[in-house]
Amino acid sequence: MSATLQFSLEALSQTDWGLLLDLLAHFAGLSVMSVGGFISVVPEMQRYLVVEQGLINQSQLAASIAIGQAAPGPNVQLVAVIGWQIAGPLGAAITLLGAVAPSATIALWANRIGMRHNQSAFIETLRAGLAPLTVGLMGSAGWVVGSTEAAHWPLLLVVPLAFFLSWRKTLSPLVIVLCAGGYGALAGWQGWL
Amino acid sequence: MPSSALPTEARAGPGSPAQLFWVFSQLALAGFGGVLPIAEDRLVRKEGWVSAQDFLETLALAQVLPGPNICNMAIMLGDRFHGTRGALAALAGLLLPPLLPVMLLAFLYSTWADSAVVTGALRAMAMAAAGLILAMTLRLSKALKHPKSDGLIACLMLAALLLLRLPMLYALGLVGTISLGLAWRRQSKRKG
Repeated sequence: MSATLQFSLEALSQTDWGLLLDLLAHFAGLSVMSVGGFISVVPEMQRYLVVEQGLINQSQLAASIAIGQAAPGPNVQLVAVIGWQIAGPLGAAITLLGAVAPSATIALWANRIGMRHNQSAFIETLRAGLAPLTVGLMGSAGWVVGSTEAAHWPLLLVVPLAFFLSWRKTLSPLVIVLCAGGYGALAGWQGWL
Repeated sequence: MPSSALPTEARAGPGSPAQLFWVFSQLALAGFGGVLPIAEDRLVRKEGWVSAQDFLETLALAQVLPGPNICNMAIMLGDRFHGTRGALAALAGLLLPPLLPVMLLAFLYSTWADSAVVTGALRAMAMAAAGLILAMTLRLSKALKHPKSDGLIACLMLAALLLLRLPMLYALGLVGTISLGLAWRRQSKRKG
């Protein structure tokens, strides 16, 4: 098991500009595709960073997502955690910039167009056509993350439990995530994993 | 009169981009596990910058655009009140201050990564996050206008990504063409 985040300071001493440029391009591409939030491009991120390039492993990706979800602020900050592990603080700045700048520019531009043409047929079509795609993207993101621990049932159990508690609105997302953390700590301590 | 004609006159908006930065940084720092519900509480009820309906309409547009919903909302509201400077101020407030706790958490985790207790906690939290994403997906799917055809499109998207393992851009292009085509046909039927 290698669920480690890697924060080596060696990355600081030699700046790999080629790598940084690749990261910027990749995350900018993800940004433009991230309809429904950055979580919907997790499968694509996994395909590129983990499977194709081998820059991080599956556990690092899952841990980064967990930190992005557990820490305060938008979940998109998970990309800064990933960037830092690949190329240090500069990597974090690059991945965050890449992930946010393109979609932010689009939002600003769309906001001004939307204010001008309130209810055009084109914008209504776009809205109606994109909604089901967003649902499919998010469902697949949840599935990819949730199946990371398919081999460890004490952890896998948390997925349907969190789903149910959130669905029934029994507990707030923060309480659910914190309870899961407590349970996972106990499970780790007891050696169930 | 279109509602966008008087976006700010009826209500007192933020006085300055600095105030936008300040309020968005506060709600971001309070947003463990999701900023959106906290943003609604703060912007609609406490600050009264936007009405509940206005908040919903902005969110609907923010959701169909690429990028995190809450970031897009920050940009749209910031732009409405104080132009480009307002948009940048709101976005910066949302993203920059929380970076500190995020990195702190990541560093703590990297130091204690060998501890079974910490890895257990993080791995379980990741699973909880997956459960939350799936619950949110189901909630949003209930808001789809045409349950049958839209549900089918969503399932096609799932199959393309999970079963065929297509890169997302291909899946979006393939299923998106079908989806937008259907939506366009529906739209022109209603008009004609």
